[in-house]
Amino acid sequence: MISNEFLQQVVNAISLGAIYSLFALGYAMVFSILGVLNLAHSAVFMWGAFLGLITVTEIKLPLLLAFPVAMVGAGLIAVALDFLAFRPLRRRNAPRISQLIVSIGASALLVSLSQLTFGTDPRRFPFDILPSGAIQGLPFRVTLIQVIVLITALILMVLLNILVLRTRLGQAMRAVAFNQRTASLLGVNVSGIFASTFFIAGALAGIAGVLYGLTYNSILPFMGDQVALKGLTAIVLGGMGSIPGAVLGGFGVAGLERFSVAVGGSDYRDAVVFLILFLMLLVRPQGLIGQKEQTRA
Amino acid sequence: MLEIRDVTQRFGGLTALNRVSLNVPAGKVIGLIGPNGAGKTTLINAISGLAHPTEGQIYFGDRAIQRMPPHRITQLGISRTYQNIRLFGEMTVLENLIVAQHGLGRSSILGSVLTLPGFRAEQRLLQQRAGALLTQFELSDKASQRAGALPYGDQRRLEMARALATRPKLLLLDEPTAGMNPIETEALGTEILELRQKGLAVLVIEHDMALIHQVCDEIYVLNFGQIIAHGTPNQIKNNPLVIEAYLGEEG
Amino acid sequence: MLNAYQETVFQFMLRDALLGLSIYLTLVTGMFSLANAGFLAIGAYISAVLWKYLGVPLEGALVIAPLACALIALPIGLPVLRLKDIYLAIATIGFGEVVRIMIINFDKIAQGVTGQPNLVITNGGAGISGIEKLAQTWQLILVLAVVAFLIYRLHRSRFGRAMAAIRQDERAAATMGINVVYVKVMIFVFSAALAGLAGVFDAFLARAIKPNDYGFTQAVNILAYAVLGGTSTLFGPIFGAFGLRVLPEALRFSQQFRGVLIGVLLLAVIIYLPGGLINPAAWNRLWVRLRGRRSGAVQGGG
Repeated sequence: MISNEFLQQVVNAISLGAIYSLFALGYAMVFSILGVLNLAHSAVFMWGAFLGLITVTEIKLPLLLAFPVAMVGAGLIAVALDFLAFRPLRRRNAPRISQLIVSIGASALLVSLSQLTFGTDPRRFPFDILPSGAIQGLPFRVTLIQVIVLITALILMVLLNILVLRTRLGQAMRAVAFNQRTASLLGVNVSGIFASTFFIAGALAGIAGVLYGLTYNSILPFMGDQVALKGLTAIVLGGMGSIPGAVLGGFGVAGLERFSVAVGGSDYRDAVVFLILFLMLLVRPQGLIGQKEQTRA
Repeated sequence: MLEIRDVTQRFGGLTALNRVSLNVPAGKVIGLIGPNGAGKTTLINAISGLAHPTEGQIYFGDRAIQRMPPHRITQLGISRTYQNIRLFGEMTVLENLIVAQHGLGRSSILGSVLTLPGFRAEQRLLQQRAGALLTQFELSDKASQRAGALPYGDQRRLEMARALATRPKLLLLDEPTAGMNPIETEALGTEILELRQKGLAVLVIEHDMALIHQVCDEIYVLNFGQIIAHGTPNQIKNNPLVIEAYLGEEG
Repeated sequence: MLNAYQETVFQFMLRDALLGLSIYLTLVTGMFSLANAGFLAIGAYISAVLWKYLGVPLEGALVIAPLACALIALPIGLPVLRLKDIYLAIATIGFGEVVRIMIINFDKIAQGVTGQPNLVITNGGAGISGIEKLAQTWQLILVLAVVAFLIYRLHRSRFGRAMAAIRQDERAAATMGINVVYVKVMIFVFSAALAGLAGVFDAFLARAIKPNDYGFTQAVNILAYAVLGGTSTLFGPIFGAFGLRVLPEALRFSQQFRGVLIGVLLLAVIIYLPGGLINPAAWNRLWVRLRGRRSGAVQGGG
């Protein structure tokens, strides 16, 4: 017999996992075409959350509009990052580490700008924006927010899947991921593909930010830091550039996190996640389902 | 001196070397030929410790080296060059030759930081040896140039000098004449024969048959990861299997 | 002479320079490690705890903290340094986070182990305060000078050349008889000890320390010292550390503007000056080019 407590943690894990997955997808997409980690991704996530928040609190638009605003806004921030930071380095054929450093710099910049704009105290959505009580008649507690999170995430994942596998854009993206030079010889507009990929990755991070902000109802400039490492763990679990891997990894990390809360209390949940990150890197850096890449010298 | 016994190398499902056996006796020059992708460089990598073979043994003298890390193998006396030159491009020519003597040095990290007396003597010795190699390979006037900025031919010669700086007993040359003109190739051949005279054993991968005939005492032919022929240059020249392997590549 | 505030700024400059040298060591050996902030935290906490509960003075901490960091770095370095570039970066970011979480939860673990429910050592997220400001400017100058001198000597030794060889081509370095694993692990250990040393001064300068001072932001700051100054010479990261401490002070920047500055500098330097500001070769090229242009103009005019 499955205990209610266990079932409850499964429900929480699925909802949290949906957010982590959306977020990790952006890491994975950029990694698959660029071969580099965009560590500013978590700052884009945070900006998405703030954009969604001010849509509701400052511009006084309904919550439903906060999602597209956050997606477009965060997507544009990500495209700007590509344009200002990554593109000059690509042109010069700079080493991967330079690209990593640039993304770290961009992250510091975006976080500081948000501190200047919004201050360092947590901001919140209006408390009555969504009914926070549990939905009645279920053997576990599930809130409307959790349902919205899951449905939104599923819709976006299905759309992304269609985009990558069924459209010309997706085909071009896969071609660039496979081999940039060949793709450009075949007439693919490589710069355009980079921009599109950054936009989609940013948009996913942006909406993940809004969903995260709604779930915990606390939005602040440093909110990206914790999610950044969860997302990294997710893509390391799933195999660095793998899109289905990122989704599985996201749910995996959330599962681990909720499970360690149930077993050892909330103090250890992050420690467990990072321990897994460590072990994965050492034992199977290609991920649980990824193919082998040269990760070692 | 070098004895390779039934070495098999697999990468995932791919068998790059299949029960390869090969001998390099002391003081001999042995050629290793075969079509592209036959596994020649894989074999050199296995000998130099960059990839450990899946099965089989490699003996150097009486020591099994197939599980040793590359620096130990170099310190035992096996040195190599690379098909696609791998000099330390940001260092000068002289520094390339000094860094290659790392394994000969005895000073510890602490000893060299604190400049104990032994360290200075060692430094002088390294400089002298590097100087001798510069003269031997006619690179003296370029000693302080960046290795990465040298013309191609000089880079090839420097790579050979660097390999010798480790004081090897066995030298592995991976396509040393790639990109050279016939005159340079012949000069390199003379160089190899001089090394043999000094008692060095050489295993050379080559496509240039003129060089092979000029320097090799024996030849092994590798195709699809297997040794398909072994003999003197004249025996190999007329071996139908070898002709077929090469024709197959062109066809 | 400097007033008290300026002297404190100067002392922090010297501490930052030690951190710059710490990341410099790993970078010039081709290792992109962001573990320094974690070792800084360990050094600072060891010093603070030893002083507060056992009365160990700064001089004692200067010996114990770097040694402890070295001992921790050894078992971590052996497996982790097999990873390269971004994988090493992720692993070391993870290490920093684990250190931070461990410090926050240290008391709970210690309470469980010792069975004393009121035991307070690291004091969770609030950290340790009331540390006396024992660090003297002359001590910092002396330690920095000695460390810089030792690194300078290291560069000129066979290990210095081995480090450069490993950075340029790890496999070729191995087949030149260099024990790559040994050199990398030793440098990682030195780098950790150096960060631990900086941690001692950190505790006895800041007077109050808390785990969140040593998070990812701190790791990024340390990286910025090396990127800004460049790693062509050991003066690069020292200059970078000084610059990133002085500039915001001189401009009277708030903490947030400091973050903006670091972000912009990291972007600008990597994009436009990949070798950093202290890069003799690049300046030399620029000088030759400018001179060439001028003499060309003169010829054209004559």
